[in-house]
Parts: sequence; C-alpha cells; structure tokens
Amino acid sequence: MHLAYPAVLSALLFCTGLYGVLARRNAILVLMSVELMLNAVNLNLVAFDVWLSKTAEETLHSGQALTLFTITIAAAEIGIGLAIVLAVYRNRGTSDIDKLRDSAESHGTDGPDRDASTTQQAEKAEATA
Amino acid sequence: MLTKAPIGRSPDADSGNRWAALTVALAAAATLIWVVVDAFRTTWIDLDGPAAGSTRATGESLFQNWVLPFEGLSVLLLAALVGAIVLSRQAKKTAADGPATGARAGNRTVAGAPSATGAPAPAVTEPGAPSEKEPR
Repeated sequence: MHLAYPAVLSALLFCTGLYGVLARRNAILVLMSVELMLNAVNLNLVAFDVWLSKTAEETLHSGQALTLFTITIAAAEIGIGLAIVLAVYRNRGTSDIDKLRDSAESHGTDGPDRDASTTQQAEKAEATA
Repeated sequence: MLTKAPIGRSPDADSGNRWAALTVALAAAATLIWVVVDAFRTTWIDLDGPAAGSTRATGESLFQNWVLPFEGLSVLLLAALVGAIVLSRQAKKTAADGPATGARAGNRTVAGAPSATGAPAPAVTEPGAPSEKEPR
C-alpha cells in the first residue's frame, strides 16, 4: 500500500478538525474538533509505525505505544473539558464561546463587547456590595 | 440544550469567521497534502507477511520499553478523574448553597431542598454569586 494514502487521509482529518476549531461557536463542537485532530495524529502514528517496523531490524513500536498514550490523554482531556464546559454552562447559561469574552481586551465602544462588559461590571458590583 | 441540535439548517452554529476558517483550513489541507505526497511518493508499506500491529507485539513493547510512561499515564488519569469530579461537584454545591443565584440565573437546577445545609454561605469565590445576607 502506498504510504501517501494514510498520510493524506490524516491530513484531511486534521484540516477538518482545524476548520471545526476555528469556525464552530459551541464549545462542545470545538472539543469534538480537537478530538478529530488528535485522531489524525493517531492515524499518522500507526501508519508510520507499520512502515518503520517493516523496514527496521529492531523497533520499539513507538508508534503503537504512543497511539495508546494519545488515546488515554485524549480521554482525560475530554473529561476535564466537558467538566469545564458544564461548569461554564451552569454559571452563565451558555456555552457559546463567542459570548465568553471575560479575558478579551476591550476595544473601546464595540456594541456587544460594551454590552457584555457593562453587564459583567454590574455583576461585579452586585457581588461586592 | 448544550449542543443545541436542531433539525435542518442552524445559522448560528458557525461563528462569524466561517469563511476565514474555511480559507485557513483549505490552505492547510493543500499544503499538507502537497508536502506529504511529494515526500512519500516512492514509499510503499509492505503489507505481506505477519501483521505488524498485533496484540502480542504491542503488548510486549508496551510492557518492556514503555512501562514508565504507562505508569505515569495512570497517575495522569487519576488526576483527571479527581479534577473532573471536583469541577462538576463544586458547581452543584454552590447551586445548593445559593438558591438566589439559581432563581436569578433561571437555568440552574437546584437539587433537593434549597437550604439543606442550613449553614451560612462559605467563602465560595464564584463570580457573580451574591452573598446570602442580601436576598434579592
């Protein structure tokens, strides 16, 4: 089998995940796109490990082992990420990442930014009062 | 609720930078595919013979050469487990402690009796959480 086939497939998977991360608005869909990118990396690892273990004399099977490690880390990451998204949704009533602009720099008098910042300032004043 | 999965087109699922994201993704795809195809044009995987990724080979290499990262990953999984429990349980406790915030936010599920603890509110540093001295 040509080695370019799995490599091209994983490149396409990675770019699908990249588009999802950049364009999606919901935090859970962004997490799913991150998973797509991780799976593209897994596919690359397995394919290149098969190629290298066929050609080399001694091999550590590092591609297979690192794929298992990547799957484990992805499971941990998605657990923590879902917990964070759930906490954000409980606190704010939305998981829309365009509306979570607390750490954004203020650009003067933008419409939605100013609205969000004033409501946040009101909430802060209520919390400190 | 969380994913907002309607049937049909959902115009607000994508953010405003959809076309910029599509441009970036297509440019990255073109670059990656060009590089990969150009690099591995003459490379073939030999699929004959015994399977390369058998369970025996993977297990032997995992428990001979990769034991220390394997054990380290168990610690990481434990940390992630504890972290996820703490993150999701903190929100539930503050929801049970401050029913006023639940009534104000309107979308928080207050479980059980509103004042199950009866104790005054501890110093939970939740943003936007009012103190219990001032009911609204």
